Amino acid sequence: MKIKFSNFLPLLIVTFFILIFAINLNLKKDDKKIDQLKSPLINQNIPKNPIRLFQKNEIVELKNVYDQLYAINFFASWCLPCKIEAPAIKLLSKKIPVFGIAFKDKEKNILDFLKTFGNPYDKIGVDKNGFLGIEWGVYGIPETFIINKKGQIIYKYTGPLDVDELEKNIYDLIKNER
Amino acid sequence: MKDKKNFKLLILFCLIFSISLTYPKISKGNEQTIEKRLNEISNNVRCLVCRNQSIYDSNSDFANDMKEIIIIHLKDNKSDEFIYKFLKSKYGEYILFKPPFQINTLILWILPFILIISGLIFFTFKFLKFRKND
Amino acid sequence: MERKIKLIYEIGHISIIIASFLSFLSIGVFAFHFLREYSFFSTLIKNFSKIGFFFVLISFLILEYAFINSEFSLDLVVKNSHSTKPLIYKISGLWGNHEGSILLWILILSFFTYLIAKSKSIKSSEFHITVLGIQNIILFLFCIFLLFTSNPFARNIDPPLEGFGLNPLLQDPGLAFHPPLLYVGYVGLSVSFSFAIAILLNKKVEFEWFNHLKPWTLLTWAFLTGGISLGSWWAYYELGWGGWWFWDPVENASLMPWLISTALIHSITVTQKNNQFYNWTILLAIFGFSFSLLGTFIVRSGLLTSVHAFASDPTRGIFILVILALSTLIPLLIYGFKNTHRNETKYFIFSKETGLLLNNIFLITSTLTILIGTLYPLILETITGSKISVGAAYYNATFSPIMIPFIMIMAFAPFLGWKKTPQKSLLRNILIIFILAFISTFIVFKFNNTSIFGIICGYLSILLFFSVGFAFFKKLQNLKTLPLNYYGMLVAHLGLAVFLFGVTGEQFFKKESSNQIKINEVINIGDYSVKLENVKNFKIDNYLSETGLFKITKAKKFVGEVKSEQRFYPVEKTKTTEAGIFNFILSDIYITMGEGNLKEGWVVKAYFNPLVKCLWFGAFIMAIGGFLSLFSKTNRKYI
Repeated sequence: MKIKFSNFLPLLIVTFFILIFAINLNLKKDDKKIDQLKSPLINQNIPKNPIRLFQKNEIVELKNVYDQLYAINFFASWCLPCKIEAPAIKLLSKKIPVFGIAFKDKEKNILDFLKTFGNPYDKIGVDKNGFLGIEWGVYGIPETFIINKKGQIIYKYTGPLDVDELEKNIYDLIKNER
Repeated sequence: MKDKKNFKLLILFCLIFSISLTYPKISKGNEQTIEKRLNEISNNVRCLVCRNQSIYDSNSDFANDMKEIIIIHLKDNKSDEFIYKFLKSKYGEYILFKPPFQINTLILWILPFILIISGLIFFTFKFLKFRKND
Repeated sequence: MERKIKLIYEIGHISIIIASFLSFLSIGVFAFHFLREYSFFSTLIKNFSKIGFFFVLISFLILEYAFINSEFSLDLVVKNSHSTKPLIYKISGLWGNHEGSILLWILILSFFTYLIAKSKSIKSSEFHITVLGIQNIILFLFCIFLLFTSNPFARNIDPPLEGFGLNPLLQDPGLAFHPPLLYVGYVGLSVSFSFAIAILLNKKVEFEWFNHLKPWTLLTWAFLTGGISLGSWWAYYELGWGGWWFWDPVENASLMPWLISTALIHSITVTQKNNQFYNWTILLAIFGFSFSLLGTFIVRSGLLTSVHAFASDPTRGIFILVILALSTLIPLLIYGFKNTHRNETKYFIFSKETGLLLNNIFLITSTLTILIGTLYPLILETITGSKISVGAAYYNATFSPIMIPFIMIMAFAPFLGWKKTPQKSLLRNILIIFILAFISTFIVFKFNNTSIFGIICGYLSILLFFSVGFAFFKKLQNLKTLPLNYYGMLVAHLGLAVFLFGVTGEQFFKKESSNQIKINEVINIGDYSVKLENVKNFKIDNYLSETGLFKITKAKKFVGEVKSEQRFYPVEKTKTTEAGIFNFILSDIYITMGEGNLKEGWVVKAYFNPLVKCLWFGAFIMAIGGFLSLFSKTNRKYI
């Protein structure tokens, strides 16, 4: 009985696809968190856009504000996960200063939010129309960035931060950068 | 012998067909107004907070913000490539629905044509084999 | 009273268990008959299959009963229903979710198995047992999948007072029928699959058995056509996005089996006629079912983002992947070892065989193109971790060009003869059709501006019309004696011509306009003016509505009025957009109203879509063609 190799070609191709699926399923099984989109801004300099401060008539450029490791946190009063991540941000603020950016929010609501959930922020900026967020590649707040002394974004997290993420990735990162 | 004549007919037909294409009115795309360009571009941009929709189809906040930024760029006379490049630089390749033409997507773009060509080669070989056995 | 009600759902649960047990017994019979051939095995497996169906039916009806009565002690009903829902959506809510839809799959699968068991047209009991055996293997795997990972009869220990409701997008008659139609198509492919494997497994190749594949594949094809076009039509008028095809992974997952089954129908024809294309037919039947399983897999595993996806669960994904792997790899293994058949009779280059060979090549290439487009992001991410998107732009650049030569071949292939070269006069006539078609195209497009692609698309559609017309007129003398499946072929091809005509109009001649307008302001599209007359807010059934009334005029003359609304469903907490569509005979004006207020106005999008109805009208005609062929004498004999 002659066995032709070409007859098994479909089999090989299908096996390839099945392996791809299997590998992917295995990866997805453990990852319960939001799908993190790899930001192209990692290891790039921060966007140069100046930021208007909250309740102050000042416009600042971040490179003039910090010359150490710091974090940026985009948040809003209307954003439910932002309320959930408040304790984690507080923990983060104990390690490095966190610059909050109120995203598409109203002054009174921001004040209420800070009063209810605490104000962990070193300084607060505002992004009234969301355009600043777009410059930072923000698409689903809350989003948190960590910037090093050289002014490069070294970490980005989309979605509510939790203690797990802090302990798994962020604390080590902070230690290494110090 | 008959096959040869048929081939000639085929070629004749192809010639006539191609010539006929020059007759009807062909327009590239009248005035590319800002609205038209916006529609075209936003059809090609993924809404990142939606499930597989473009920002053209979506009414979400994110989609609307993106459209506003695009309009600002369009009014500033920026080209389509500039806008796509800008979006790519902030969000990555994922945000564009047209996959890039680079090394890691070569197979994606070329494979359909490889398949067709191999199909036609297979087809030709089959007939050459028939001829040989004649 | 309470005890009695609770018991009935356990009966539903047990029914499926019994059905799985019966299918397991059937598999046993199938396996044993390889060792010993007892004459009663045939009757045994047929009876198991038939009785198994009744148990599945009982289970399905009991679950339906639960939905109709809003039985919230069943977790599934809680998650997918609400007591205020209209009755028809309570009924269709059963399959608007993962677990219920699997039960629907199983119902259809066991029904088809029942029909095969009852079939009087299968002469060889060996063949009959094998086919039933394979069908029961698939059935068994799905039942186990249901029972262990997706049990619709799962109980709620603490039944809540109300359900979560059904996704408002699914509360629509179009979408209520879309899954059942599609599933008949998908499951039908399992039948062709079983027949093909049975032919493969047999010691000798019995070409007569191929005749059984035809009617089932036609059934599959017709239902897939109906299901896909119903989904597309629904998306158009219900979603308010203005589109009818989005190259979404799940849409692609339904299109691929359709293309394969189209190729399969034509390939079977060649095998029936002169025992050629054996390999093509077997492989197409195997892959047809693989693609339908792939579709099921994609929707439920969470691997690809899609608007259609059910809640993702990797465990379920793994199970389906295993079923997919087994049902593809094992047959391909068998094919690899068994495929020693070589019967090459010669045919000429201008014969029907060539046309159908090219047909196979083009259809398979287009299927693989869609496959690679759909899966490439996943493959790339697995290997390199980078994420890309593949959308309409890719498919327009790759799938559409392949269709051009395909349709040209489709235009003249029906006139070619089997094995022989056609007479010169016939070739001359075909050339005349091509020339007539482009003259007509030339005339049509002289007065309408469009891009080169629009012209090509229009030409292809007109070409097909001429092709069908010519084929019809050639047989004018003996219309009464024509077999029904010839009409089926004509009608199906005509349907595609109509569909293409719709694509030409809708894609290349549509006009769109959007603006933020306040009351009494106007948007213009082409010759038409759309004025926002008023906006009203009210509550109806289970939703709140903000409805805008639009008046359409042309050159100051009144044309019509439509309403477009934004709906908010408080129970499910979702918002939907309802488009206002003003219907002309074949075209329409499509208006959507976004969010807004009196002060700033509302964002209104207006489209003029010429010939859009031809899209679904064409698909409907294609499906009718499929049914005509199905009921032809030759095919009826083999059901």
